[in-house]
Amino acid sequence: MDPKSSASIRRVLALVRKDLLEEYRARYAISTLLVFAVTILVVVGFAAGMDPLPGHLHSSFIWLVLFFAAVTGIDRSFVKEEEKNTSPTLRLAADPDVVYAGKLAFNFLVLLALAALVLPLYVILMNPPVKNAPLLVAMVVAGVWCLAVTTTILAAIVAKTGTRNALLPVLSFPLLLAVLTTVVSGTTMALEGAGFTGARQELQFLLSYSVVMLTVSWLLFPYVWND
Amino acid sequence: MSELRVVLAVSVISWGGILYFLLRLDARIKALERQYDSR
Amino acid sequence: MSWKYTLGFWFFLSIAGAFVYAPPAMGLGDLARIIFFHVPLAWVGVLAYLVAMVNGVRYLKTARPEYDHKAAFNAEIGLVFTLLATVTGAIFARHTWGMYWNWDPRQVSIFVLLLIYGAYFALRSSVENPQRRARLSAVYISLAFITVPFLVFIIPRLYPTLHPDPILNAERRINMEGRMLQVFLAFLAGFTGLYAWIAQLESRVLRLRARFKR
Repeated sequence: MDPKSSASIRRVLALVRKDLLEEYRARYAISTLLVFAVTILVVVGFAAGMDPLPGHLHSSFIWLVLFFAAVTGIDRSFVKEEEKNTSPTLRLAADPDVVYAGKLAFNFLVLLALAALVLPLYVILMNPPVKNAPLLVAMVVAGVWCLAVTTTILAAIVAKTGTRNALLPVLSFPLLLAVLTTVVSGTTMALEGAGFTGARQELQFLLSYSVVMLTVSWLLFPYVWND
Repeated sequence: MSELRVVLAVSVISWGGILYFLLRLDARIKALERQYDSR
Repeated sequence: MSWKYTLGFWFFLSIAGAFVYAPPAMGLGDLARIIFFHVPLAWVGVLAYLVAMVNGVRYLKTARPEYDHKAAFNAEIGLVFTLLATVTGAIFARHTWGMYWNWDPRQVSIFVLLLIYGAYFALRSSVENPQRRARLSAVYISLAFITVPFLVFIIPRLYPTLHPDPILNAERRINMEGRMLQVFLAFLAGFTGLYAWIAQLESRVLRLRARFKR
């Protein structure tokens, strides 16, 4: 590995560590996301009652919770840099590529943590039949990865606007509709006991979506960040 | 005959929408003209 | 100036053709005449989106404000035409399938297009600085554009469609009666001309405004 790219990897890691440290001190993102997720979960639980639900409703609810929790809190990663006026320093200290990679990694970690807390809670509270747990985990990780890739650049956009609230859900829903429908059908398969071969098309779809989104975001991010 | 009425309604809606758009454009041009005259 | 009257005359002939010349068809009776209005509206809605996206990318490359204005007014035209296509489509759906809205794949697609336009304008209205607004909205419309192929792939797999065949169907045969096709193509050309005319008017307004500012 040439020294330049290993240096930028070290920079990315430093940025992630900085964000994680801030997050550990303030616990802003995870607490907002988690409280929001639990609120939706309780509402859904009351609405559904005690009746056993079909698998596709369970998977819709899981992604309803994860999607809305993600889009309410994930723009913090960029908004906080603007609010504390640290973004000019960050712009001087690191390339846009480094910032993008670092923020994406941080957002992905936060969303993974959220999913790791929400999914067991959902299983406990709502009793969905989980027939293929490894596939369920794979689906959730793939879906969360697509959520992170899409919302990272949109969060950067939202942080640059004047009104910083409620814009991220509006911006991200049309872009994530394809992902959400795919991941819901994949999660339904996992709940109903399909194997990895049965859900291969869904996983391939999510992978190709995230690759395309990642490439285009990486190309467009400097236009958003360098202001 | 009622089918034709539906089609008529659809065409009226289409043209109404487009006409609304054109009228707004017209208002914008008129505002520009006023601006020009007042200089 | 003269092509404004040509356009008017062209539409006069097409509308007359739609109600008199073209036969009722496709087992839908007179209702089939809706396509003369509905499909060109949807076509212009998509075309304007494409033009808006291209202008957004051109803005990112050149940072010249006129491209941003072009992107914005194309999105505006596109929003109007897409809304009209949605409404006319819903009326058609009500009288053939019994419901205004039944989440047919075509309805979902056009709904997503409306959402993208809506989000685009929400984004524009929340940024004060013109350069920043131009840059952010250009990035957004490009991002939205790259998800379109994924939607085209995924939406038809969700539900079966009741929507009448597209003009060129799977067998690559034109499945439309001859006289109907003539009228339909006349409308398609007419609406595209109408779009070009509106776009030209808008850019003239822009040019005038820029001149006044100086």
